[in-house]
Amino acid sequence: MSAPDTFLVLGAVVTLLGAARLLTTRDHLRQIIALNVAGAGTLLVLVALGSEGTGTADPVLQALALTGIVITVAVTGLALVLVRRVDAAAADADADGDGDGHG
Amino acid sequence: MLLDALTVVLVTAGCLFVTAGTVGLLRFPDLSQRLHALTKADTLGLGLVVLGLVVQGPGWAVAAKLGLLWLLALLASATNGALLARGAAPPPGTGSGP
Amino acid sequence: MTALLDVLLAAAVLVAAVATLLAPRAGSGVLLFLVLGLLLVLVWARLGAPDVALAEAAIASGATGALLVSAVTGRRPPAEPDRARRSWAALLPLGAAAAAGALLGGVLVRARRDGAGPGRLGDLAREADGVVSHPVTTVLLDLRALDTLLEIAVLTAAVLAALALHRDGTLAAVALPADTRPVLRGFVHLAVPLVLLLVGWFLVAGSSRPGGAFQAGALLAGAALLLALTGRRDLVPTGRWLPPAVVVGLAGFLALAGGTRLLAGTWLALAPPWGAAAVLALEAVLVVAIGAGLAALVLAARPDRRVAAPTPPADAAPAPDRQAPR
Repeated sequence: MSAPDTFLVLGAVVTLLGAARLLTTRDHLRQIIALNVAGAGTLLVLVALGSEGTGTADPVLQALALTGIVITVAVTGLALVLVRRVDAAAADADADGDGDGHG
Repeated sequence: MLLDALTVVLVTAGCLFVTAGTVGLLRFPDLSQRLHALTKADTLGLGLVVLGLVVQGPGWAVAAKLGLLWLLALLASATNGALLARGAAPPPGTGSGP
Repeated sequence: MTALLDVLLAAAVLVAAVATLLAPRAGSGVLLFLVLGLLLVLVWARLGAPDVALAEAAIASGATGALLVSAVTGRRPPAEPDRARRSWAALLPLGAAAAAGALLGGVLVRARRDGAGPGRLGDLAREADGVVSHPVTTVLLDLRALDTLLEIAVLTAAVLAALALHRDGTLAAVALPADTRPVLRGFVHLAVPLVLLLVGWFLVAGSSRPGGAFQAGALLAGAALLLALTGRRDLVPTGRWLPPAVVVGLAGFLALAGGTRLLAGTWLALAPPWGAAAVLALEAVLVVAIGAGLAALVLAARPDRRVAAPTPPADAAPAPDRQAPR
């Protein structure tokens, strides 16, 4: 198996592992981490598809991977801010004592 | 040939030091001992690896870059170690920690 | 020999990914994610994608790492512990996912073999009349200028949305405990000029070799965070200069698009005599916007300082010090 093939399989496995964890965990922070892992896996597939094992990988697919990385970090940052707000709201609801709401 | 052998010896020794540092990180009981293992052994290991690569004669520019790399890693490692150690046990009376 | 190293590297990535996903505490999950990022840098280098490797190190591992660490340090442990983590019931979905992933990987390998033709997409990029010689930057700015534009738009929108959750739409009210330990200050004095040098290098080098606005912007954000967290908030836009600094990249891009439409007749037509200078100027503006945006995202995860409650009317009930919509 050549190098791109190895990493192609690796990318597929990592993507599905991250997606499975994303679906099975309840903790928001873990969900964000799982989303990032799954994203890394998809980029692995993308770049490995355009790589030949020697020399540089396909520039178009590299540029797409760069786009993916930037979008992922933007989404992650916004999601973390929202998670912070959800946690704070849940803590406030708990502190109120009546426990009528949950985050 | 002699230089190749030297490179192999130096890089192997470097890898051994890094491995020893990692084992220390995993096995030592408390934070300061772990930091001790990590910062010292890893810095030395990286230095040996860099030295082993410089011996191969890649030219002055690359050698200088490798040396700079080591210096920066040295700086970052020492700073991190000091900050983590101080952060774990803030001296009394210094106000609020991080 | 190299095949063996590839397999070892892939196994290490796989172990790091599983450990990240199954870490017992969220904090160790974050740190293992950083380890995964470092291993992925090696994978990108092995696949011959140095631009992606730099972006992974600077943005995916660096900026995301800062975001996650900042989020996990200020976080109370969740009320319900993530229980039954090691039980077989929890591992079953992951095992099924891994098996399905292996099957999918097999399909992809076949597809890659069957679909491998002589013409790569990137060869088209080289033949296009590029004003910069590095193919990845050519693709990013020439062929896919619209894509980069939308990428900046997404980042800007995310940052503005994060800012909208704070008072006044800026970070002026965010409490930043200044860490003024001498070791850290000395490190910052040494590191920030070096990082700024590297930012300039990435920016200029991006046209002819790996590097570019996004990597440089992530580095700039790192320098800004170092300064903001060591008591030099005055050097970092967090108040009313922050929204303009975030938006300037998108605005500059749109201005360039409009200008080329008016002058050259085509959107974002960058003709050789002045195209390279325009691309470089645009990238410089983008670096500022990306740096300010990423740093703002990290700082926006911190809560606002509670305002001293404005003296309530005498007959009002003691109000909470912030309006908490239910």
